[in-house]
Amino acid sequence: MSQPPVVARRRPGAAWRQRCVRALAALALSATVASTGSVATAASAQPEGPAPADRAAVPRAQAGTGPAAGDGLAASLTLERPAAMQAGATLATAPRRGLVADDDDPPAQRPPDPGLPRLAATTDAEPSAPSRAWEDAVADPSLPGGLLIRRVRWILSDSATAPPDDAPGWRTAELPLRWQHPDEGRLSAAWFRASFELDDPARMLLGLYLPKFGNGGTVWLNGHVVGAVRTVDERVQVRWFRPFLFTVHSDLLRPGRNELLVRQQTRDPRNVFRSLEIGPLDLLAERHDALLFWQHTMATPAAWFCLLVGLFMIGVWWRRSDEVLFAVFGVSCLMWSIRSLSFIVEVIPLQHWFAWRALHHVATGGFIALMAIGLAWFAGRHPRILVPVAIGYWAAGVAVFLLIGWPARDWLDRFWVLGFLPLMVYSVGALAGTWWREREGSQLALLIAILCAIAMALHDYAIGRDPSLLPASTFFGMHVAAPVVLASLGAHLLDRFVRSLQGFETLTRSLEQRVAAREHELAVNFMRLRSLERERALADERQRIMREMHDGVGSQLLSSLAMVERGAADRDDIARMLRECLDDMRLAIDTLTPVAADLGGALGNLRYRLAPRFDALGIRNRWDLQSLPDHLPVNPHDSLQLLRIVQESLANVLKHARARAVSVRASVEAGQLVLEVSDDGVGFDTGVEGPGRGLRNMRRRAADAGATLVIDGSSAGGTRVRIARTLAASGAVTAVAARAVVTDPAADVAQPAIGPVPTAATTQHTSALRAHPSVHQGAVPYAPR
Amino acid sequence: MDRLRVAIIEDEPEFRLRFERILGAEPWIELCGSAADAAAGRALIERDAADLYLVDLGLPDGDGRDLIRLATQHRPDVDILVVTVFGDDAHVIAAIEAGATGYLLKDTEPRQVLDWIRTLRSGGSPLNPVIARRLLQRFRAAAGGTPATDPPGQGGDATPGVAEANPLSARETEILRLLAKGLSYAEIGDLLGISAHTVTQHIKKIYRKLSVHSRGEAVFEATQMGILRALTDRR
Repeated sequence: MSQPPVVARRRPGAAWRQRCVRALAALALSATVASTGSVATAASAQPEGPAPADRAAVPRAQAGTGPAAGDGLAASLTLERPAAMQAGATLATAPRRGLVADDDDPPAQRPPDPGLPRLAATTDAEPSAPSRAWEDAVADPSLPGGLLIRRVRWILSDSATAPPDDAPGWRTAELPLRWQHPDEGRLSAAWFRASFELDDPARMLLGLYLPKFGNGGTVWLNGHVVGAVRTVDERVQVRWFRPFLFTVHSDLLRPGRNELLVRQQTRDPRNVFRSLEIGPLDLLAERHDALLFWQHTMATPAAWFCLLVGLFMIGVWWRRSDEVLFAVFGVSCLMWSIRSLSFIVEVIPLQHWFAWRALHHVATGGFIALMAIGLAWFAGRHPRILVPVAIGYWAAGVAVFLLIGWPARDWLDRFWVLGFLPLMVYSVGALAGTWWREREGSQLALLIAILCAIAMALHDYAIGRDPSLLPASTFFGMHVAAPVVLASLGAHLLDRFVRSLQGFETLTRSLEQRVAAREHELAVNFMRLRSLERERALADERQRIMREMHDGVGSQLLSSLAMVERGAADRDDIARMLRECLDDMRLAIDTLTPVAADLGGALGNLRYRLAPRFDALGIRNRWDLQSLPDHLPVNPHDSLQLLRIVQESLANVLKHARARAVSVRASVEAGQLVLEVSDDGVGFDTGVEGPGRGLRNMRRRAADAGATLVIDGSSAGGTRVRIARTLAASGAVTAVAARAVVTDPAADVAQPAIGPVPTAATTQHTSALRAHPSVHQGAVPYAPR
Repeated sequence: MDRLRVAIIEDEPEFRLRFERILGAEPWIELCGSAADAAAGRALIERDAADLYLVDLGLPDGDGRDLIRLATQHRPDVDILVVTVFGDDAHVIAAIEAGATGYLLKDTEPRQVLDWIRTLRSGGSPLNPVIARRLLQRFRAAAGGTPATDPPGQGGDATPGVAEANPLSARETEILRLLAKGLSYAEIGDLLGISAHTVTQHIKKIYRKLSVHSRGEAVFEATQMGILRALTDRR
């Protein structure tokens, strides 16, 4: 491994001399200009100086000499160099740092192996002029005492060791460098080399800061490995989204020229090599930490945030399926959180790389497409073409990648993503229009956030395509902008959600108030109705009682008065008449009792009162009431009418019949209530003299109660009065039915006749009774007992 | 046999005279006093306790029921006939609850007045069907059954369900039921295999039970109120 440096062999001593002169001049100048700085800017001191013929071989000897070399004078350094060259083989013993494999021995130290093929991917470039090596670094104005490497020489070479300086393919380029290699998908390596000059490196810790080191790789300083970050290799694909800071002890530096060497591998056709800095560790650590925080650390909570917001929105949609907007933005959030994963998962096993990339395209396209759809809908625009176009374009991009594979990748990254721009412009325009009309603060906030995000996206796109456009930008802005957009979106949706909740509560409250008001209204109405009803009931009751007074007690009293006045009544007559008045009143009370008594009880009371009178006159009275059920569905009014007829009949028996026996029978036969009063007295000729008013009253009452009345007054064997009335299932229905019979003459047909059909022979008052449609009249042969 | 001591408390002079005449004519009755208002009636009751009172409920200066209660307190076995115009259930039942054992219509014929008094003194009591009905309902309600809206019972099935919390015995309930249907005492006696007189005795028992029952209710209510008051005092 310890071959003599190739370049040394090839370069003659003239170059050495030249370089020594330059070094001396540079050191002299630096000593005066920046004597206190630990790192001086060699390049700025001698911008125009000719480049040394060989940068690779010369300075390295110092490393091998250990720390002592660091405080040596420039003069002595230059003197030592030839010796160092001779001792190049000792460099292999230099301390190893970082994660270095066996082949991490400084490859540049080794003399090029003649048998090793020198692979250079590009052959078109001229070998760079070595003389420009002095200008690789400049003083970093923002970093006191720091150097900014702004230029490299680089070469495409898969070689495990640095290709020799004179190898074809070394090119000089300004940083940041976009470099390509033609073999897409093949693992290729590139070397980068930069030199810088120091006058008097102080003994201190320095930092080597790489703000962007996407491909990773190994970094050597003066032949020593100072840092190794896993690069793309046979097993994995890497893409680092974080800065790196390596610690460099100043022992590794030496006055004069120092050299940085970087090797990295890639499969991607397009790569970027960004500038790096050497300087005070603490200052660089600040930069590093800040960038690490924003670029890397924050990616994780941002992804989580997007994930949770997305899930929340989808949850809202899940419960309220008509809130489709929530679903659209929710899925969009999820897409972004998936996309953010690529900033968190930086090393991907090779076998998953394609799927990973496909997922990246799905998430990127999905985020933009759904965001565009959601914003347009949010703005109230629902063109039918929007969804097919957005989703179709998204799906087409993904499909192209899946079908064509890696060759399509660059095309997708370059054009497909940009293709979403018109869609986004449309949606943002719609949102802006809506805001212009409605002037809602949250709309404006969302609009501003979206515009910032689009600007950030364009910025990211630009630095992704060509880092030299915006050299100061080292990280992608969308990672910050997207969560801001989602947050403002979430804030707006939350606002809407809360407002709808409040609206619902307000609605509930007003509904409650209205219900209460309506309830009160109803209660008032109900009270009014009830009082009306009560008044009507009172009026009805009053009318009923008035009628009772008028027809019953009143007319009884009047006729009694008339009899007394014309002297036609003796004491007994008057007592009898008054007693009848009382009977009438008691009957009314018995039947009109609002709650209790029904016909059975009242009939019992009638017996209770009248039986003693018959007994007193020695008239046998038989009351057959037992077969009557406990409860009869007959309303009080009808009961009274029926009982009046019974009472009238019994009064007639007492007055006129001169009977020896009377029989009262009450029963229910075939759904009919039948009341029958029969006596064995003289009977009466219903047609001729007739009791007149009494009979007429009986008929009227029967009609009123919906009953049929049959009076058999045949003189042969006493009198029989038979009352029949159909019983309905309930009293109320009966009442209605009974009235229907009264008011509707046709119903008479349905009324079953009691007993045999009346014949002309049995009665003489047929014509008189016919005036009452509901009263069947006629007679049946009296069956003497 | 001792003569029956009877007193009349009736504000209407005509009727007071009528009853005085009816009762005064009987040798077995000693009319020991008559009062025209509640104050005089109370004095009458306090002065000498009669065996039987005829009491009008509607006195000008008070409620006849208070006099009934007073008389009952004085002599638990006293008979009180309430004199009413119509014999309507509201009046009669209120009187029975106060302790009356019967009622008399004001226009009752003299012979029947004397009959009622005899019945009462022999331990019986008259009752009209409408009031029997009301009493049935009342006891049913007290027993927790549904009152007036009960479906019509068929024959003798009205009693069993009611018997337990009902203060009336099965026999008494049956008698009430038959009375409510308008059967005479004799007919009821025939049906039940007892004499008509026994039927009236049952009726009198029913009266007493109603009175006690209502008094019990009153006591219970008072206790409740007392308890409530005690609770509120404690708070």
